[in-house]
Amino acid sequence: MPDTSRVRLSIVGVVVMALFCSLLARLWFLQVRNSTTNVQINDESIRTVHNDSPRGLILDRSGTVLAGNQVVWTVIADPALRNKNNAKLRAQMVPKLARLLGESDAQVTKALNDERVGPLQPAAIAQNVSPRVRTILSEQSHDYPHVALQAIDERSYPAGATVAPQVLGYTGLVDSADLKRHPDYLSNGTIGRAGIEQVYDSELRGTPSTAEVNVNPAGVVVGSPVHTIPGKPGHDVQLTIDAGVQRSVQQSLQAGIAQAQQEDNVDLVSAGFPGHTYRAPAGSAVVLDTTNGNVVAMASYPTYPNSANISAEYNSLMNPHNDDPLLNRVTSGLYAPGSTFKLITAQAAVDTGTRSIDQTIDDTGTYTATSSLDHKQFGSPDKAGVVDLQEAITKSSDVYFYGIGDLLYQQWAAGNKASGYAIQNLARDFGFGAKTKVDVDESAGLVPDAEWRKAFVTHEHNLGIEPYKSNEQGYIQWEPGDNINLSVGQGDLLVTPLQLADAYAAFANGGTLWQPRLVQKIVDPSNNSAKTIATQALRSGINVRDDLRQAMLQGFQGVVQQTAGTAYAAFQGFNFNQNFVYGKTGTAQVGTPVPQCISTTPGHQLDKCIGDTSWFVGMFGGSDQNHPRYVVVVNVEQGGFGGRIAAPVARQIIEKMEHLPETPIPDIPASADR
Amino acid sequence: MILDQQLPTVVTPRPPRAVGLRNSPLARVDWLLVFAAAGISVLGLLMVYSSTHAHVFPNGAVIGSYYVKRQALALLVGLAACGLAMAFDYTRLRELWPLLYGLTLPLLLAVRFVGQGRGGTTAWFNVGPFQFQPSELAKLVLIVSIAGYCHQHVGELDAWRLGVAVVLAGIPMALVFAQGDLGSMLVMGVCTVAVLVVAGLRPSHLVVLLLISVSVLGALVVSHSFETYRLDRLTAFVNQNPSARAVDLNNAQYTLRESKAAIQHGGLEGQGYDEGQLTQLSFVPEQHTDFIFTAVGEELGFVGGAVLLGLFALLAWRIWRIAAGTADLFGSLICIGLVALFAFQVFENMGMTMGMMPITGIPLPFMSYGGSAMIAYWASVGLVLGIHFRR
Repeated sequence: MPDTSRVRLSIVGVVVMALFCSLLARLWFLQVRNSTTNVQINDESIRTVHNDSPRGLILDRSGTVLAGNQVVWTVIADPALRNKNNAKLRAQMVPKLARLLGESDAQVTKALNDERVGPLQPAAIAQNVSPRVRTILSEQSHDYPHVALQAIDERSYPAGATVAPQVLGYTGLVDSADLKRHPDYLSNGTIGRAGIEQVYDSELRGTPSTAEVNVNPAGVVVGSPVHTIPGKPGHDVQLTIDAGVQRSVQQSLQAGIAQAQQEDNVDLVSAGFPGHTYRAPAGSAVVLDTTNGNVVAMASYPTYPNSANISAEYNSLMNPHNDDPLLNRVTSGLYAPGSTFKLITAQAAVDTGTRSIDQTIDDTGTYTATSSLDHKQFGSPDKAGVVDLQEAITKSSDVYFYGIGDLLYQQWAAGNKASGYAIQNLARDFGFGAKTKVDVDESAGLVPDAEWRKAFVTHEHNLGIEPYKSNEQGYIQWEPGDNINLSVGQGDLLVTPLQLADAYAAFANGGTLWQPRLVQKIVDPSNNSAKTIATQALRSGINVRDDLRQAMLQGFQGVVQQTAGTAYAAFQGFNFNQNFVYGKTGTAQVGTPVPQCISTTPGHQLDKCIGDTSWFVGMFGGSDQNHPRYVVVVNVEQGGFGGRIAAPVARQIIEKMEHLPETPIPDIPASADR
Repeated sequence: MILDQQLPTVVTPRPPRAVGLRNSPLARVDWLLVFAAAGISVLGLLMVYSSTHAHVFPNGAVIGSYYVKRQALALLVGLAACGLAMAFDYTRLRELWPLLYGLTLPLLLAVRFVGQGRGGTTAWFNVGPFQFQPSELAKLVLIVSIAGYCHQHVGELDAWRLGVAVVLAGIPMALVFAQGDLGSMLVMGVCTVAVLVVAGLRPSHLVVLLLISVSVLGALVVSHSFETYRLDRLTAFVNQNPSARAVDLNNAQYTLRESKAAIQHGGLEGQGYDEGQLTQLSFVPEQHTDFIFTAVGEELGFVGGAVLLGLFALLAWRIWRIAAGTADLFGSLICIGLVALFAFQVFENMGMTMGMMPITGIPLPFMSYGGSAMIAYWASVGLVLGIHFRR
């Protein structure tokens, strides 16, 4: 290689060396001369933070706040402290925070390591902290670097945690499935998960606020926001429910259930197993305004306390042994209505001319079906004797109504669909077998007929399930027994307590079936403009002949006032001169207690046993005796006789609403009436 | 070279092609060069992991070891490329360089139209789950081509031939510039000048060449060939105001300030591996690629930065030494082009993170996340080792 090349190579080498030297000098200057081992606070970056605006309130009919908002102070840790690799910082801060919060080191560490929160997000390490902790953290913030206080809006229940949980529902944190359906929701926001909170979520949620904040390199917000776009609070939802009535309805229901649990289970006694009380695990009560379909109270038992953090109770709420407290039994519980269904059968009999109002039947305690195909015997626990329509209602004579079901079946078998399905058609007119379109989730129920039976059996067969009771040929076809069972509200008929209340309300008001209404108004708090939710009739002009209506009303009055009435005992001492009450009891058989379900292990005997549903429907209130203002429906699962268990609960509710002294349930005389 | 039989015998050499044990190929490898490149690569893997594993993808999934695994795979491919390049008789490139040059131009042209890009550039092809960035290959091919051209015309580098060399370099430089990759264009220019200087460029021609370069650059700026954001990047280092609020800064100024803050945060000894707050909290944009040095600066401090700089100096020195030690001018020119390539890229990359050079998208060799660059640089090392081997 020529010498000139060597010189030129050296020039390149020197230039390269100079470049490296200048880099090293600059590095020295930055890292040793001008080093900043503490990151400068002015090294801020802008982050945009969205926050949910306060959720709208849920109010009762007079404006009492049932679900409101409260500020909850939360301690959050920044990402630097959440970084597991910051061992030095952790060792210093964790015991200090644990002391401050009164928790163990392990609890604090667990909260810091919460994997549900992304590694670069701040995480909450303590919620709802005491004023003492707040004072210490705000006044001695320099002693607690990397943590901050944050105010979070949370649901509160000023009218009491116990008021109408199944109606109000609850909220939860937005999850990824919600975000797919609602891309505009905040990932750190809340969403209504059940009840009014869920159905009216779009009204209750406000518009989120947006703030641009400075954060330092450690991720901590510095100073006040650079720029904010305020959000809009959610709209308030005003219910038709009366908080006071609701509270006492819940108390009465609970007391009635407690009473049932202390009473001897007479079904088990007659089956030869004395010494057991009713299990009575659940029940419901609802009060409807017959003039507009307003729900005045809606109670379901077992219940749970309203809470902003319902998921903390997840295990207990979902435990199958706790009989599903989350279920709103008024709207979603499906039951055989028992004798309360005679409201429909009585009208169907007279409408079709099967029975006249005055025609009498001798109730001897048994009924033999007239069909040549099937001569089944239908029993009745009581012998009502010779009864007409009015007495049949008062005494709840099953035999009287069995005959109606049987005769109508004969019409059906003879090809007369209109008369043959008179009970079914009238039941549907009164809202059974279809959703009531109430504001919250509900079940549709079932009004059985031949077409349903065929479809059901075919469906089961296609699923590979043998027809139910396949050894009994009767079940596959529509048989006299099916219509006979239907006539007394048994068999395959399924109703919700709300449907039953709505049907009686339509009878009480003279023929308008209302869409039950839980929400009457939605108010925008920013300008106080209100949107009224109009009352809606599902069906109007349901025609009930006047003489028939009068006979039935007298029958319903006899239930509570005549000595032969099935709820006479429960209403003893009630001043009927001042306040009128119509009633109907029901005792719906749900299976029969069988020896196999009786175990010798105490406490577990009745778990598998299914008992009768105890029903009472009352119509009362207002100034027009012919058109009672309110309907109350009470039922208790596995509670025994309607007159014994459900009727006293209803009496208390009526007394409350009529401003009468309330009669304690254990003081109400016992009776064995159905 | 003194290294001979003292070498570890666990590595079984391939059957010698021409000579005996004393001239075993392994004995003629510059192990210090390999050590320097490998040391930087391993440090690079560590820093790529540290600066990415705690972060999340846009969809929220944690990155974890995603990037470092891909980078390790690139390193393995790079080592294989190094071996192949070393085995290849580089002297055949004296005749083959026009072919390589001719093949590279269409690649650079194609990436402009069918390539993918980010931040205003279209710089790579998608090849299955990987990306191929032809500009990294083009740098190497250009060095070989200029070296080959100068070697053919050694001693006759007059103004006319110089013009041909400038055109040879100018075409790929223009194509790279058209991709939006100003940094690679500068690197190519610097490498070309370095090769020309050693090949015998006259001082007067050098002055003219530099004047032309400056005018072209100036013309590009004035004629708005740059989008605003790119101009911001070039000028960010001029307007450094440490007390400005983040909201008042453009992206480039913000990047530069966070970058400097991270390096300053490291101090003498650094915050500790995987413990740099700015690094772990993703405060420096593009940290695992172009700004990888900020992670070294924050977490390993001046000590770590100096060691890294020392490794780069060792690398440059060994290649320069091979350039000086070979009797073949062609090999020497290739080596000196590569010295310029590595030295300038290190200077430009580290310089921009420390606010002494404009921000351009140049990776830190062997360190920055990116497979094409890793493979191309290891192939370069192989080429140099081959030149040394056949000196």
